[in-house]
Amino acid sequence: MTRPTILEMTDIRKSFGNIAVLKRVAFSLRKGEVHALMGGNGAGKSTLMKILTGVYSRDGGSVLIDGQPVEVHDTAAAERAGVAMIFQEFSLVPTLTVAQNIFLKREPRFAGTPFINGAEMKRQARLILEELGVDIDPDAPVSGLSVGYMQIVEIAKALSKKARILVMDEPTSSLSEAETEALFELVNRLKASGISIVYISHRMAEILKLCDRVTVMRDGETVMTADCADLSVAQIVEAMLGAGNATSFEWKDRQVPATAKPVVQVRNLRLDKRIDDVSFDIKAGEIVGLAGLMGSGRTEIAETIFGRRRAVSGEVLFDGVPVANQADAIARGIALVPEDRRKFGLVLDHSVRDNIILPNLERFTRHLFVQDAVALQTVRDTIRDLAIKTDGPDKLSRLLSGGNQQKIVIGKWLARDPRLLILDEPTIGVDIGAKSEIVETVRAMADRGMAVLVISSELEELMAISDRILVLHGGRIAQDMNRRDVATEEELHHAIQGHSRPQAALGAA
Amino acid sequence: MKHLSIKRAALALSVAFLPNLGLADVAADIEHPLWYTAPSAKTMELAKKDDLSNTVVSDGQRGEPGFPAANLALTDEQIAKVKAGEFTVAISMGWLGDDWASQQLIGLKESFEAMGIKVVAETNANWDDAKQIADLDAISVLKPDLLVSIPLNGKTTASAYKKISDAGTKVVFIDQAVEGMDPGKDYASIISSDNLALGMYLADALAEATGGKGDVAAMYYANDFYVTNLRYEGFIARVEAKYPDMHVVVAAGHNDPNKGQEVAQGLLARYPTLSGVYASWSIPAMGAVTAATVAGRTPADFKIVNENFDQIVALNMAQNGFIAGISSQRPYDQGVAEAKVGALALLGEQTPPYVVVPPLKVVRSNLAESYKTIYRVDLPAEMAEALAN
Amino acid sequence: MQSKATAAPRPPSALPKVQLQNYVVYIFFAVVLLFFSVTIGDKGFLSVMNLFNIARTTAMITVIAVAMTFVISAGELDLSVGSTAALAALTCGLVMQAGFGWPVAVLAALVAGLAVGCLNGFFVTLIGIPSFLVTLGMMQFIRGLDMRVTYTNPVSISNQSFNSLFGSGNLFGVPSLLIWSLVIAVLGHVVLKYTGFGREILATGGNRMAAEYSGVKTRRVKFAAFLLSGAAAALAGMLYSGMMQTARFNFGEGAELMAIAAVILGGTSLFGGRGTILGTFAGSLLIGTINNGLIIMGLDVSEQMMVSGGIIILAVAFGKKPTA
Repeated sequence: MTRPTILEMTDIRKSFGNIAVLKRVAFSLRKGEVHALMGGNGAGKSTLMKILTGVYSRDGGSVLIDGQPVEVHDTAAAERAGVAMIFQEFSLVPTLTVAQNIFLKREPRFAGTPFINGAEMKRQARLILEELGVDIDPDAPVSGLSVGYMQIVEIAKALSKKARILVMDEPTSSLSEAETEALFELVNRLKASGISIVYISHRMAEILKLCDRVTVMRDGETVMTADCADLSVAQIVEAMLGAGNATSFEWKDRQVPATAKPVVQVRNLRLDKRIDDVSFDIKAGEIVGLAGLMGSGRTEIAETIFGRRRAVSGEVLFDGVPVANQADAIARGIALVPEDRRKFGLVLDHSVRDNIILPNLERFTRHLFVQDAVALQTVRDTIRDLAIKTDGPDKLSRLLSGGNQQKIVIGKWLARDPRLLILDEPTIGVDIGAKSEIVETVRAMADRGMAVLVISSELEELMAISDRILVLHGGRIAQDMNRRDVATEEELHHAIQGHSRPQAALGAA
Repeated sequence: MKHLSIKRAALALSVAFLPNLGLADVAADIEHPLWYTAPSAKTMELAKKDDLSNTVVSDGQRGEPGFPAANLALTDEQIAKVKAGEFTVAISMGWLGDDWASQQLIGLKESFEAMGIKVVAETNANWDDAKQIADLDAISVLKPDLLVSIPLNGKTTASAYKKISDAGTKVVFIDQAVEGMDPGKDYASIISSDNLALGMYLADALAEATGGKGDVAAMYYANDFYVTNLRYEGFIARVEAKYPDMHVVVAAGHNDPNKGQEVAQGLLARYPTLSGVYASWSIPAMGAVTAATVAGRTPADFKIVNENFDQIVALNMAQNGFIAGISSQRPYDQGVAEAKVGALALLGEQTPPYVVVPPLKVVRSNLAESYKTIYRVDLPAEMAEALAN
Repeated sequence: MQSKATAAPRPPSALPKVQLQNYVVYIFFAVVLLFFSVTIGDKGFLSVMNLFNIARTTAMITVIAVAMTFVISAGELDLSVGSTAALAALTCGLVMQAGFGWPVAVLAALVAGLAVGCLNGFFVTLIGIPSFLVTLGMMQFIRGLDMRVTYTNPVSISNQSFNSLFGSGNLFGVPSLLIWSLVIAVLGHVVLKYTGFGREILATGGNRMAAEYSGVKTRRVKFAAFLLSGAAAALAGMLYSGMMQTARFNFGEGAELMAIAAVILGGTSLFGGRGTILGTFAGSLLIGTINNGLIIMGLDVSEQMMVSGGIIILAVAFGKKPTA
């Protein structure tokens, strides 16, 4: 069944200065279709979408909506044309209510007066939310909503503007499992009602599950458009990276030396909320994956090992000695790459150099003064070793892509040569290319004897990187499985949801 | 006035953008403050008199002729009557903490005590007219026989005073009256310093110190403030009328006494041959002292006069510093005058609507004596020692 | 939409422009200096004495602003510096009046400044009150204290070694005030730019959480910034009193805002994370030069305020980094 084409972008060209970002790109969208747009960072997909939504103006090419040429010089024009973007970082005002946000600057008035008709506004908001099949109180302040609900309010806002084309940018990156499911349901409902969706994501699994077609961009060009039904993950990855570059995201059976001693021992850990009784070890040279639902307490465990949190009871031993506090943890060689790198990982307005130096300050400081020349060598080594794509050490980290920012955070800790590296959701918002490079780096570090703990919601990633996977459920380690014993993602998925595997040995060390 | 302000606005804008638009050298026609009005014919006439000691120069704001405070007197009989009356008084001050306010308060209280008038309330509005209204409302509850007060604002506080006056309390104002109240009917008198004369004494002191010759500068308080305006006006009038060889070549304002040094530095940089400056209050005057020292001037060739007689300028004068003359108010005497007028009013006597306390000219030769007059204590040891050298 | 655009790779053509904006305070300073030299150069503006005048009157603001650069770079604000300067000046004066030598008085003044910094630091870092509020309250409290201890009377300082060292004197013909401000500026520049502490200040202001997670003890860092600020305010207070040979309760009124203006003019981010002492020094001199020049031009106070306010806004506007 071929649906009519609603959006046709052809020959789109765009340059910044003398760098061509888009070179004759073509993209088409059918009515009622969910169309994935994929590509590494710098491939040009966000520039393309910014042209569609009127943030940038194109240098050449045409945009047709419903067969009519449209000029989207600004966001207002895009809105009139029925195009709306659902932002990764939500553009809602947290202090206003749901209804106020949906109708911001378009509030219904009492006829002929400048006064806002609050009751009417609420009624209309409720109507839209009901259409979306969600139970959100229009009077609730947005600040109290979960991330998933905020996104739904964004969608409601777009629909209230009669949008027919929605662009969703990494919509699931900060959603929990259940929220993701709910979002997929909503996307399917929107699709059924004839709304067309451009879906930008790095997550292969959800794209194949949700989308009708996929377009892959690389280096400012469209390299593939195909029906999802005909595609495998490997084909997509290959299209994104170019032939022959897609090997490292597959699992390799690494041999952890049997003699290896545990570097860290978590013993009967109990934290305020969620974590009841958690025990596990990580050996030198071992990569351990920690799986579990959003909010199951994974991050809290990581922060406790890192000395930022106090345990209610139980203990964390590092080389057999308890970790006193964060300073002690860092001094003894524990490193944490936190979940939200923009908030906790980087000083965004500082250079790559300053960010890498920060946790290593005392090492480069002699008699109060920072030895910048010495530090610069380390910074250059880090940039080279992790293949951080930057114009130079002095470029502001804010200006780098998500993947390269994450490499800075990892790199600044690796420069300390830690003995335990904890990675909390290391690849959120990181494109597939950088993702595999990060995986490679982590493996190389483990081969040199570093102990690694990886927390991730992406099962694909855990399956690719871990030697051993711990499943956190109900405040305990419900399962402790060797990677080689896990055959499919489904198995792991079941374990996380709380179904025990009959063959799993509980608490095996 | 209007075309003047347009000219000034244009000037302000043009200096920001156009190069080479410095001011033409001002000789005779200096730029006066924005609020400045030329002295009246009467003022100019009085400014020519050689001896001002028995002259009241300032009229009241409504043109009431000033009545010399020295001519106020109560007979023994009147005093006895006041004592028998067992009157009560409230004092509402606008601020406290400086010499002017505290000496005035001492003068008031000592006189009231001597006449057996009981002070039932004493308030301090701390420069806040809203607070003063609240203070007056509180006083009205006490129903004193007499109120002595300095209104911080002639408009905003008016109704609060009117209420008290209407309830039968006699009102004596310090420095200014409020709108909508008439002398003799709603209030007894206003008692004020002779601010024009104060400015004229400064001109006299500066002329004496410089020999009446040369270029001098005037530093003024830029805000439109009635009493300081008058002092500046008096200074200018006197120089014009009486010292033809002494030229005021520049007038510069400050809106913050602490900026006195900065302003004086600018004046000395631009007019290196100045022989003296009128420096308004004591704080800007001491700023001018610092600026003069830094500029390499000496007390022999540069003189500063100012209008607050306080410890720092007095010490500088005693030490043969730059401070050559001080024109002082007599706050204690003003307090005494207010108490006298109040007593007369309580007896139902008609009092003059505008009573004026003359200023006191302080130079090094009468410093010890003046200190005793104003502060009613002997000169501090440090100053006495300096004076002896 | 703005934030999305920021994350996009910036067109290369924008780069040289950004760099010019880093020097806007120096350019403005040069332009203002040139303007006054042309218009009033022959009216005393360019005399060595007058240039020293500018250096002298800006010395206290410079000293305060150097420490303020640390506080602002760490993401905080200190409004209490003006009244702290007066407190230190009074402490100094009273201690000398009580018969102690000037070194004791200087020590006492520094202790007073550090005590205020300590209180500010305590309330901001340990109790968690925003520094704007803490120091606003402290500004009033200390000013009140200044009035209370002296009943608003000035305290004269007759110790000539003190006066000469802290304000009135010269060294090889250079005013001691200029020397003080140069020493403090150089010291501040070196500490902020080349020491580990400086880096920690900038990291704390740039992103407190990221700094924490990188092992920076951000509370300690902020506390130290307030201590610095208190000590600098105390020094400024002594410079005021050395220059005036008097200590008075109303020293430094408005100095906090002048100092903040100098810091921001210099290119330090009001939100923390980016700071430059050289810029601050230039910003302070710029303000001082404008004030001095306008007085010599003979402008009325109202006109002076309009012009200098306008110049400050223009300078900050030209120095603004593009956000999109």
